[in-house]
Amino acid sequence: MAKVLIPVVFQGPTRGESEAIVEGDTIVACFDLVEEKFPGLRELVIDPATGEIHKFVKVTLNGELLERDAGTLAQSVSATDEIEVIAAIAGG
Amino acid sequence: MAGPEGDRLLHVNMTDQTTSFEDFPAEWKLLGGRGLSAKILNRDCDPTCDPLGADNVLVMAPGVLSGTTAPTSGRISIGCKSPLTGGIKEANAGGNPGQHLMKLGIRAIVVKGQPADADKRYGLRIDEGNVSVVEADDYKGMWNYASCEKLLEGESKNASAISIGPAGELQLAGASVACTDQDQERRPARHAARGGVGAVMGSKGLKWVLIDPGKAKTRQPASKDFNKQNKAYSQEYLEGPQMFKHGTSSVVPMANMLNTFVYKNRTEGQSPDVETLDGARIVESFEERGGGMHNCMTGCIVKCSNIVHDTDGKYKTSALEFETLTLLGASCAIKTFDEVAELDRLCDEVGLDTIETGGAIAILMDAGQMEWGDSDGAIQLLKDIAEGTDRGKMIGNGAVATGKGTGHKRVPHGRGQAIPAWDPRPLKATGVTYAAGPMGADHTAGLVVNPGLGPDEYAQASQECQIVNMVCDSSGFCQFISPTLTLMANYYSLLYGEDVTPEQLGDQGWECLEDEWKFNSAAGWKDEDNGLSECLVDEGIGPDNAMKFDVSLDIINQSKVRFAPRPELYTARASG
Repeated sequence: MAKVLIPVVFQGPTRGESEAIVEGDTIVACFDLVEEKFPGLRELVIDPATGEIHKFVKVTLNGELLERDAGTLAQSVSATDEIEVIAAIAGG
Repeated sequence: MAGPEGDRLLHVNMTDQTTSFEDFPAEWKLLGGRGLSAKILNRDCDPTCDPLGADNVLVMAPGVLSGTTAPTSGRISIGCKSPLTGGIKEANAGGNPGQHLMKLGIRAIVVKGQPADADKRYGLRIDEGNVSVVEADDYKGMWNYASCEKLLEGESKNASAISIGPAGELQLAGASVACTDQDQERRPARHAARGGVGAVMGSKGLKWVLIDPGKAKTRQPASKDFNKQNKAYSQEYLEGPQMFKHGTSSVVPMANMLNTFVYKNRTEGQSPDVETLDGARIVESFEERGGGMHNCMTGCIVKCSNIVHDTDGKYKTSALEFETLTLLGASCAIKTFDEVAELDRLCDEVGLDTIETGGAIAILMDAGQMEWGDSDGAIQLLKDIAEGTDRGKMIGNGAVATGKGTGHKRVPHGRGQAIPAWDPRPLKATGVTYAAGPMGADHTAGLVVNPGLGPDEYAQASQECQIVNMVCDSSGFCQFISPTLTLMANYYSLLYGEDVTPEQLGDQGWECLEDEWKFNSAAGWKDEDNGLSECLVDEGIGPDNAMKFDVSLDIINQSKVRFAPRPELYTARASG
């Protein structure tokens, strides 16, 4: 199991939930399982067209920033791992 | 050592063009920027005054930490009674004037009165040891870039300027106040834009302020640990995700997904032009055209400001922000960032708020008086504003004036001020800020980008964000470095060598909000009027057009009654 932390910006699909505990063995599998629980969240993080992390989103694994490519998303995770989604908000 | 001492308020009387100093009140030591402006306005300004009359007071107040070595802390607030909302207003900007004033120990410039001859123009010179009001008729009608170039030519390379363009001189309610940035060219590209603060500066006959800090040093903190704090905080930021590395314009696609990249005067939440307006296109242009990211003020480590070049590789504008791309781009169905860059430059030149002006142009288009997407027409409109034509004045006076002038009913606003990009229908807690906050529809006063909240959470989420943003906008920190109350309390403790707690700053933020509400109440605002325009309540956006601003007045007004502070308040980050 891994913990997926969801930023407030993306808590529309989760109806306010800030995290999800899922049993995925890779990062992308974790997001697939989060999608089953909270439909609509996956596409906010992963571009359906490219399978990569959206340019405007950053994802960390245990605090380490991940590359955007699909290969990174295939990386294995263990039960104690923490995946955090970070999204920018700003007006200017 | 007790930290900075000998600070003063600089009073400028524009009726007789005299200046004087007042010792800075000791009880305001921990107040700067927005919070200080509110204190001064409550003390010195009659809330019932004509916003463009002699009795209004214009305050230019840097933050508490401006002029120190704290990273990204040099912002300045411009405050007054707003000609748009009829209430108190604060708009803030980057650039170097805030840093320079604080190095000179000037905690605020307080401008009062009005010249007898409305055709006269004046400048305020602040040299290291001298202050004077000088005649500036030769600057009359000048656009900001040319005006600041002329002003700074031959001056010290350290000098900075605050100025207004023709829109401010014409006292139009959408007029901004420009501050020069820290680049070698010292461009007037940083704007305190909202609420018509430029119109108030224009009503005082004040065309510019020149600040030369001379050899003034950075403000010295009481504790040597101040620099350790700088190092730790900078390291934490630079080792983090740096979400604004490519500027606020990179938010475009996410905002589109959240139904807050509004299209055609907010009749839809998503734009079909998201790809061509995406900030990623701006970043891609750097390689071929030049331009890039830079810091707008000395000591900034965020560097969120882009410099946009045209297709010939020549400087066009800085910074092209998410708000501008939404209001002057998507909401007007204008398709490309290059077109918006041209409009943004013109707004900076004429001295206009891009949110208010974009909102007004979208209303004109929605009313059928200009084609959707007509960027050439929009360019002409901005030139009309500078020339003071009737149509130009209508647009320059903002969204509500344009609604009245065209007879069009779909006028998205809160308290007379155009709605920013962040839409209150998918983001209802932000809508509560627009509806009941003292600033009217201003996202910088309390932006809550959390579409997952329930109705029972809107008021508290809005209130907490308003408190944190109030303290941030009083500190001098930029909202994009996302400081917390805990961090700011630590900085204040080290600056003055006394214990300042996060709880104390939370209380300070609330007190300053109450100051502003008190001013607005005396100006005639009533709680039963707290709300947003009908089109935002009746017309939906998003899937099945189901997103409406359907928040009750009761919930809206709950945000004005203080909730018991939660521990999260002290670690929440400012966001604007």
